[in-house]
This record gives sequence, C-alpha cells and structure tokens, in this order.
Amino acid sequence: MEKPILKVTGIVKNFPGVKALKGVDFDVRAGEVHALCGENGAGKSTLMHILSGVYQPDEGEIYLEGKKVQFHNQKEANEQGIAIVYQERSLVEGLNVAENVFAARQPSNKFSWIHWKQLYRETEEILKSLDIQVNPRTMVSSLSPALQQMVEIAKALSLKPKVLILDEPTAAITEKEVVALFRLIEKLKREGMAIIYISHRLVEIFQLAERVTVFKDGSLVETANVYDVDNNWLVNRMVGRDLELKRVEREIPKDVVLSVKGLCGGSFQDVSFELNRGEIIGFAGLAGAGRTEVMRAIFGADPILEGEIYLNGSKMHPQNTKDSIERGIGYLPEDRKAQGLFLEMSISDNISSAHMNQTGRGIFLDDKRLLTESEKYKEQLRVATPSVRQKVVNLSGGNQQKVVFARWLMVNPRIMIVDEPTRGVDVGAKAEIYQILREMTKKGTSIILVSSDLPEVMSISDRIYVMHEGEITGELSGAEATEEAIMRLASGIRDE
Amino acid sequence: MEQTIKKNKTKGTFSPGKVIDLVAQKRWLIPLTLIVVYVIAFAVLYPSVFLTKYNLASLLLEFSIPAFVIIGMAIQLINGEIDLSVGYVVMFSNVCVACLIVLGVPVWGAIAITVLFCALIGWLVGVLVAGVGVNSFIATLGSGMAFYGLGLMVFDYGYKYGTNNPNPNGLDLLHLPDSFKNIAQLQIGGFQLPVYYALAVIAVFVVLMSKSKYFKQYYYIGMNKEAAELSGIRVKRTKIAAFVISATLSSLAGVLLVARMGSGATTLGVGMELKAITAVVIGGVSFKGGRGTMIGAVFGGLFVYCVNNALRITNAPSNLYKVIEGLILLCAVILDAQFSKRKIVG
Repeated sequence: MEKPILKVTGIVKNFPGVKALKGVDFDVRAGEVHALCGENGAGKSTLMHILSGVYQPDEGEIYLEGKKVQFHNQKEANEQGIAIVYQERSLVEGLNVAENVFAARQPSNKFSWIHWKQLYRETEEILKSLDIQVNPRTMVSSLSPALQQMVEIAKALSLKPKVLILDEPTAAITEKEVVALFRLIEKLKREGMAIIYISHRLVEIFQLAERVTVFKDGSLVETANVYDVDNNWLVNRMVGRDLELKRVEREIPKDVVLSVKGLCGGSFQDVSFELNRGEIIGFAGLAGAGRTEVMRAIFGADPILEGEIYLNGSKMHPQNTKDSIERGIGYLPEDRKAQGLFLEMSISDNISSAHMNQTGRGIFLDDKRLLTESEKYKEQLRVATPSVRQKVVNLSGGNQQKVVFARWLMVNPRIMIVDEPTRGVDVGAKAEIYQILREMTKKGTSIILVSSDLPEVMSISDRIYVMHEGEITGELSGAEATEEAIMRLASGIRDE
Repeated sequence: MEQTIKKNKTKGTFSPGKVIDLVAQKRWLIPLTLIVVYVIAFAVLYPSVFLTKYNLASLLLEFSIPAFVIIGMAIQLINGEIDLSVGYVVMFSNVCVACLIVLGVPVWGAIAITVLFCALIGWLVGVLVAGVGVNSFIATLGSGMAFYGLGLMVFDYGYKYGTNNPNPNGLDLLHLPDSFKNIAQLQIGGFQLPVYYALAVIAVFVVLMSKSKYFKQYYYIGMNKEAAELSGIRVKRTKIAAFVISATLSSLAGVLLVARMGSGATTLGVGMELKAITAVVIGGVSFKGGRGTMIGAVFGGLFVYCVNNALRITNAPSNLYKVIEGLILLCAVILDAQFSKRKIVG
C-alpha cells in the first residue's frame, strides 16, 4: 500500500463551548481523491482550516511526507505544499485572471515592479496545463461562476501544491460545468496530486473518489474504499438513519391563488402560470434560465415590463417587497449569505426582520414578543443553537437556512417562493427543509420551488414548469416528470 | 441554563479574555470607562479647577451642540453610510441664519428657512446615494464643499449688506439680536439652554434607535442592504431619511452655535465631522454598518469633549488639540478593526 503524503493523528480542536474535533486520524495519498462528507458542523471545515493553517490544533500532529509539520498561518501551509479552494470565492472581481492567480506574489524585478510579461506568460502556462480556456487578461467579473471556480483552482495550483483541498467546488455551478471540473480533477489525479474533496452531493463521491471519510459531531465515523460502499451506507453513517426522497402523490383541487399572465421583465418574456391553494409547483431549468428573475419580479424586488398578476382573482401590481409581503407573498432568496441573512446580528433579529414592523405598539418594537416567537420557531425547526441571541454567523449552513425559513414562518405568507432552498445544505437538514415545506402546504400555503436539483424538484413538486432562456418551455405533472423530460425542456427542445 | 452562564460571567474568576468578550459586546463600556478615569484623575490632579460647577457647565455646553451632529453621524454609520458634510452644514447654517436675521427676516422664520434648506439638500444627497448609487463618502464630501462655498458667499453678502445698510439697533453679522441669542444663552439652574436641548434630543434618539421599528431598520440595512430589501424594508427611502435627519440635526447645531456665540463666523463647525466620527467610532459604532448603539455614540462624544476639557485645564497649546484629536480617531479606528475581527465561536 502506498504511503500517505499527508497524515494527521489525534487532532483535537476546541472552541469556546464546542468540541469541534475530538481526536481525528486522517490521511490522503498521492494520486487519490479522498472525499469528506458529513452534515454541516460535523467538523470537516474545522479540519480543513487546520490543514490549511487557518486554525492551530489544540492537540495532535500533522505529518507531510513523513515529516512533522506545524502551520501558524495559511501562508506557511501554502509554502509547504497544501493549497485550499474555499466554497466562497476569494477572487477580486475588478482584476483580471492573471492578477488573481498571482495575487500578492506577482513576479517582479528588483524594484518590486511587476513583471507583466512574465505574469501573463506564467498564468497562460498554468491555464494551458489545466485545459482552461480563459485569456489571462480577462476581467474576473466577466467570467461565469464555473470559470471563476476554475481560476480559483488555477490560483491554488500556481502554488505547486502536493495536496489540494476542494471545499464544495460544485455548489454553485451547473451540471455541464461540473463535467469540465471533473475532467480537470481526473487529470490532476493522474499527475499524482493528492486531493481532499468535500461535497454534499453523494453522487459526485462515487464518480470521483477512491476513498471516503464520514464525519459526525466532530468525530471521524469511518473511512472506507468507495468501491465497498453505496449511497445508503453513506447517508446512514452521516445521519444515523436512512433517508429517502419519496414522492407523495396528492390530489390538488383547482383553487387558483396566483395567476401570472404574459409576464415580461428584463431577462424573461411571456411567462404564464398558475398556482393552486396548498400546491407546490417546481420551477426547473438551467442556471440563468430566468427563474430567479421571474420570482423577484413577482415579489416586487425587480420591475415588471409587461403582463398581469392576479392574486386571489384580483389584479396586483407589485411595487416593492413590502407591498408584496403585506399581500401575503414570501421569498426565500437563493444566496442565503448575500441576500438572506444579517450575519452578525442575532438569530432572533434575523428571524424577525420581515415581521418586526407588524408587531409591537405604535412605533415601538415588541422585543420580548419577538424573542419568544423566535424561540418558538427555533424549537420548531430545530435550529441547533443554545440561544436565539447567538449571532447567525456562528451557525452551520443548514441551520442558517432554517433561520431564513423561520423568518417566513413568522410572517406566515399565503404564497411562499423558495429559491434553491437546499443549496449547500447537508442531507439531514435537506430532509428537514422538505418537511417544513410540506407542513406549510398543510396550512394552506402555496409554494413555488425554484431548484436546480432535479431529484428535489421531481419528488417535492405537484407540478413542474421548466424554463429555458427566459421562457417557460413546458409544464409537466409531478407524476409524469422524468429527469430526461425536464432536461429536454430545460435545453430548449419543445414537444414535437 | 442561561442564567447560570450569566452568573458565572459576573461572579466567575476575572480573566482578560472574558473582559474583552464583554467589552466586544458592550462597546459603550470603553468611552464610559475612559470618562470615569478622566473624572477621577482630574478630580485628584486639579481639584480646584476641575471640581467647579463652572467647569462642569462649560464641559456640558461644549458637548451639547456637537451632540446633535454626533447623533446624525451615528445614524449614518449604522445605516452603512458616512456623512462628511456635517461640519460644513453646521458652518453654512450658522452663517445663513445670521445673514437672514440681518436681512430682516424674523428669527423663527430665519431658523425655519435655514433648517429646511439643509434638510432639502440632505434629501438630494440621499437620493444621489441611495437612488443613483453614488458613494456616500464622495457625495457628502462634494455636498460639504458646496455648503462651505455657499456659506462663504452668504457671509460676504451679509457682511457687505450689514455695512451698507447700517441697522438702527447696531445689528450686523457680528452683532445678532438678543431675541435670537437667548435661544442658546439663557441659563436654567446654572446650565445654558443647549445642554437641556441636547439632553432631550439624546433621550429621544437613544430610545428611538433601540426601541422603534423605524430606526431598527437602519441596523438591518447597514448589515445587509439586499437582505433588508428582501425582508420588506423600503431600503432607498429609509436610507434617504438618514441623510435628511443628519442634515437637519447638523443644521440645528449650526443655528444653536451661532446663537451661543452671538455672531456668525465662517470657522464655526468646520472640522466637526471628524470629531463626530471619532465620537461614534470610539462609542462602538462601526464603519462596517449595522453595528453599535446610540448610547455608545453619546458616551463617545462626551469623552471627546472631556479630552477638550482636559487640554483646556492643563493649558495645552491649542494646536495640540488637533494632534490629540487625530490620534484618538486613529485609536478608535484601530479598536474598531480589532473588535470587528473577533469572531465569537460557539
């Protein structure tokens, strides 16, 4: 058996009040992809932060190529051969590709003037070796998320690392782009790179990885060869129970609450659909198909150019978000950190942000009531935190998403639009979110689910609309929808 | 469970980490502590000068008028913007109201015109920032310059008008009528009126900022504009309101300042924006927006004027004021950066 290139033993890391890692042994070999999975808050990220020098372990040792090493900061880890690509982008949008790849360590002459020619040449070499077709002079802001991801990886690889850590690299890119990313990973693997791959998408693990390690509650549950295990095994280890998405066939009586006719906006045209009381309709499509834009327009966040919206039979013209909320429409945005959360405010403040104007006496807030109400929803959605006074930034992704859900449960809208509600959320929290959605429909709320996760759309929705380049290309009933049928419509192939 | 934790915090062993955590959460403790230290130190070192009612009255008077500006600045920073025009709004207002009075406009009319004009310009700048998307740093720097230039022009005009049309009562820009001066110069219980105005305004805004729905919106907007919009907050108009409030308060400060001084001057208020920024930042209001309290900003302001008081008592050269002021601002910003970095994990 090959000797591991990176090995850690007995890693312990404590944060005030939390044992983040409870003695972890872990290794990765050259030329393998070692996948890490586990629910949010299981300790994966903490371990990666230790490997990349952001945190220092309280106990335990790190061995790189058999030698004991210590990293005091990320630079030291980089220099010794460990590079990490975070889930969040770290590129500077206003600079070009080359400047980003060599950020802070541009080739320079003795006066510290940047050697531009060399900068572009070296960047071009790196990009070429990775088969990334991007001009080093292109502005990063003009690249698609997937290409930005590639540049991010190029940046990490320009450090010439021995170990590359990828933290959920596919969270924000489309299916097609995933293929290109996987090709790149396979290539690196063949060249002998050791890769640690963190993902919530279990399918990817079976496509890419040699070995897989499952984390739970700060401990390493098990490391196994991918060939020896299956999906159920993984889920079982991660959450301690079996989870399966099962379609529930429901008969939805026709009782239209929302009817959209010929809606046109900046990036969509002639969108018409209907939503019944208590129904969940799915909006499928590729990234950039205009689904989010349609929803934002209905919610009053973006202008409408043409078309009509009928709410309970009466015409409405969404002027602004406040107006729409008062009419009983809620919207859970796709990017929870940038659009959903007030990260450094308390959980309670986050939950009550859309409802605080409706409570209290006169111009004054009712802090006590907002606190107890928040507490109630925190309990109901099982947000893992000791107190609603905690800052949201301290929560894991799944719990953060539950906080945004709690906000809307408090408002109790009649129509709830959820945009990618389970993006970057672990399996356990996903199941809970589906449960929340179903509970909401039982109370008569109608739901519009925008999602790029096909199994999700297919199992949750009663009906599915598919969009392609700003237009609805088809409508499928939940029962007749297949992945193939949706993908055909999503790529713009209409029924013959 | 929570109560026991709280008990441990206050009763438990005294460790630097805990103190820093506490201070990070209640940033107003910093200026309050500094004020207490200052009071004790000067009561011991200069008992004959410091411990007089006259000194207390003058310290509070010095602080009272800028307090209006500080409140506006605190709202602006929590709102996620900055307002560099406040000092020049103060300067313009003092000259403008004085000039209008010299031109024969009744006192209350002159005040109303001045304040309304400043509020209107504040609204325009707010539209530029919130509506058009101009950076508030640049927008208010520009509007401030315009206010300054306008103030100088108004002063020149008023001065010439005063000399060409001598007032039978001997009134001109440098000699304003008593009916106007009384607004700021009358005393009750040994304290001049602005002290009471300031107390009232502080009380109102401390309560509004911490308890009212409307002002709570500034925390949401300052923390995350986008998320605030999607929570049903009318971000644009609320942001614009902050500019109007800031300009109005600064304009009132200018009116009170000239009433207190008795004559209009083109130097009054200039540079007050830096004092105000120092005050609110040291009081825990962050440049990052959405963080801090009004009471902290007020304590911060009181501390800044305590330092002024200290310099006066020790007879420090007046140019040293600026140096010290600059250093305090730097310290406050460093402190802010340090506390912002702290991420409480748990």
